[in-house]
Amino acid sequence: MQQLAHGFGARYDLPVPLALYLGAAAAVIVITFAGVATLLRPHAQGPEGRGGVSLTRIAVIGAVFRSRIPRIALGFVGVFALVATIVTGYAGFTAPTSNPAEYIVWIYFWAGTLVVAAMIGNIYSLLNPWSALYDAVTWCLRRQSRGLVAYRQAWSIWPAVAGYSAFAWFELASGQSQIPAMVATATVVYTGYTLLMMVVFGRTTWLTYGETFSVLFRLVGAFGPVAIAASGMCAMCTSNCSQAQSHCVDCEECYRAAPRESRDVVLRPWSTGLLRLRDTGWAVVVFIILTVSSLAFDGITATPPWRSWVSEHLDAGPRVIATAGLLCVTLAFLAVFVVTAELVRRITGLTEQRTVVAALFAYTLVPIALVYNAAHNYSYIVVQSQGIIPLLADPLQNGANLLPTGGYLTSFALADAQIVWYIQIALIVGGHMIAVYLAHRRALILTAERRRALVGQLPMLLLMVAYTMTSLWILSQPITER
Amino acid sequence: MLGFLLSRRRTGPVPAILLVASLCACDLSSPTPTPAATVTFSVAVAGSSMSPPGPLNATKGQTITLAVTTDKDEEIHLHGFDLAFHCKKGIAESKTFSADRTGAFEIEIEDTSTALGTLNVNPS
Repeated sequence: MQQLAHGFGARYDLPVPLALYLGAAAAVIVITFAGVATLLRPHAQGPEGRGGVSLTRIAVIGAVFRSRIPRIALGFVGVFALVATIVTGYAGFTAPTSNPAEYIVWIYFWAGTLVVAAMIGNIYSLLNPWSALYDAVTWCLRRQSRGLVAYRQAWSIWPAVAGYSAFAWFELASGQSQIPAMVATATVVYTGYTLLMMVVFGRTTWLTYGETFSVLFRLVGAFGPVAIAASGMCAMCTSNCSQAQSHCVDCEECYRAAPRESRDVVLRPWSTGLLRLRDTGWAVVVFIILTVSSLAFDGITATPPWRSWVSEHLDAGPRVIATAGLLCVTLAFLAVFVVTAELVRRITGLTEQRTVVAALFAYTLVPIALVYNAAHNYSYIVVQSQGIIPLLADPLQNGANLLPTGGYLTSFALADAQIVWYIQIALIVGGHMIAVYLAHRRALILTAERRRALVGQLPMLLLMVAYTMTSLWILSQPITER
Repeated sequence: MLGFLLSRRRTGPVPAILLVASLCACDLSSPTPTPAATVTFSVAVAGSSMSPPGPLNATKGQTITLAVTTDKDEEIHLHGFDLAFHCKKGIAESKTFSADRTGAFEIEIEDTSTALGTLNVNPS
C-alpha cells in the first residue's frame, strides 16, 4: 500500500506506552485544575513597557545586534540553502533520503528552524532568503521599491493563509513532497512569486501580510524569549505593530527604521510575547488553526486507525483522501474553536467584536501547536537530520568527495525510546500548562472581573484539554500494554 | 523554563510537583521476562503485503535474524538499520544483526516505497 508519508522517510518513533499516556493525561487534568485554582489570585497586568530585559546593555551583544552582521551572515546562509535546495533537488539523486534538498526543506527548515525559533526567537527574519535576495538587489541598484499597488487592509493576512494551505497540502497530501525535483520546483515557484510580490506591494508590506513563512515565524518568534524592540517608531509603522504603545517589540519594520541607538534586543519569559500580538480578524484565526490542524493531521496519518481506514478506501486515491482529510480536520478544528471563542466572549461578557476575541484567544493556542510540533519531530530532528552528513561529501551522488564525511553513520544516541517518550510527554504537558496560563492572562487583560474571567475560561480550558489529549492520543497510537 | 509561571504565587509550585509526581507514578520498568538473546523472524512478501503483517517485536540487545522471501525479484529495505535484502523469487534472503537501537523501523519494497510493516525494537 502506497502511503503518502509526510515530507520524506519514515519516522522511527515507538508509540508512547499506555502507562505513560495515562500518567500524562492525568497530569493535564491536574494542571488544568491547579491552574484554575492559582489563577484566582490577583495578577500582574498585561505586558506593557519594554517587553523584557534589555540585552543591548551588554556591549558586545548591542554592537553585534545593532549592526548589519547578523542579517548579512544569516542571509547568506538562507540564500545558500535556497540555491542548494534547487540545485540538488534537480540535479541530485531521485531517492529522497539521498537528496540534500529533502533534508534542507523538511528537516532543517521546516522541523528545525521552527524549533529554534520557538526556543530562541524569530531567527527566520534573518535567514529569510527571499528578503535577503531582495535586499541584495535593491542595495546594488541603490533603490527600493515602495510598491506598485497599494495593499488593502481588507486583504489582511489572507495571502499567507493561502500560502500556508498550499504548503501544508504539498507536504501532507500532494504525494509530491518526497520527489526532490518537485521540492525544487515548488521552491523555484515560491521564490519567483515572493520576489514578484515584494516588488508589487513593497518589501515590508509583503513580509508582514503575504509571505507565509514570515507570518508564521512572527507567531513562533513571539513565543521565543529573544525579541527585537525599538522605541518611538510605531507612529510611522504601517503594520499596526503596537498601536498606542511607544515601545514596540517583535516588529521588524520599526526595528529597521529605528536609528541604531534605539534598537534593542530584549529577553523575556517564553510565550509572553504572544500576549503582545494585536493583529485580529478571521485571517489570523484561520492561520493559527491551520498550523494546529495541519500538524494534527500529519500525526493522524501515521496512526494505524488512519492507515487501515485509507487502505479500505484506496479506490478514491490516496491524494483525494489526504486532501479531504486535511480539509476536514481543519474545518472541524476551526468550527470547534470559533464556537469556543464565542462562548468565552458571551460568558465573560466581553464587548469586543467576535473576531477580536477569537484572534486574541487563538494566540494562546500557539504553544500547543509548537510543543506538538517539537514532540512529533523530536526523533526526526535528532536522528534523520544526520542523514545529510554523508551527503555533504557527495551531494549529487555522482562520486564526488568534497568533505571527509562520506562514511558517516547515523547515531541513535539521542533517540532511545525512553528518552523520546519522556521528552514528548514533557513537551506536550508543558505546552498545555503554558497555554492555560496564557489564556488566563489574556482573559484578565480583557476583563477586570476575575470571577467572570475565570468562568469564561472554562470552554477554552476544555478545548485545550481536548487538543492536548488528541496530541497524546496520536503519540500513543497504537495503544499497547507495555 | 516554567519558573516564571510560578512566581508571585505561594501555591505556585503545586502544579509542578503534581506533574512530576504523576509522571513518576507510571512505572516504565514493568517486569517483563528477560528476552531471549536471539530472535528469528521469517516473512513472506506477496504483492504489496507481508505475512505475518507485523509489527515484528524485538527487544533492544537481542540479535535479530530476519529472513525475507518474495514472490518476485525485488529489493526489500529495512529502515533504521539500513539493510537491503536483494531477494530472488522464492529464495529466502536472511540477515543477522544486533538490535542496538530502539524504534519502529519500516520494512518496505525499495523500488516503489511500498510500506510492508514495521520491526519494533522495544526498550529492554
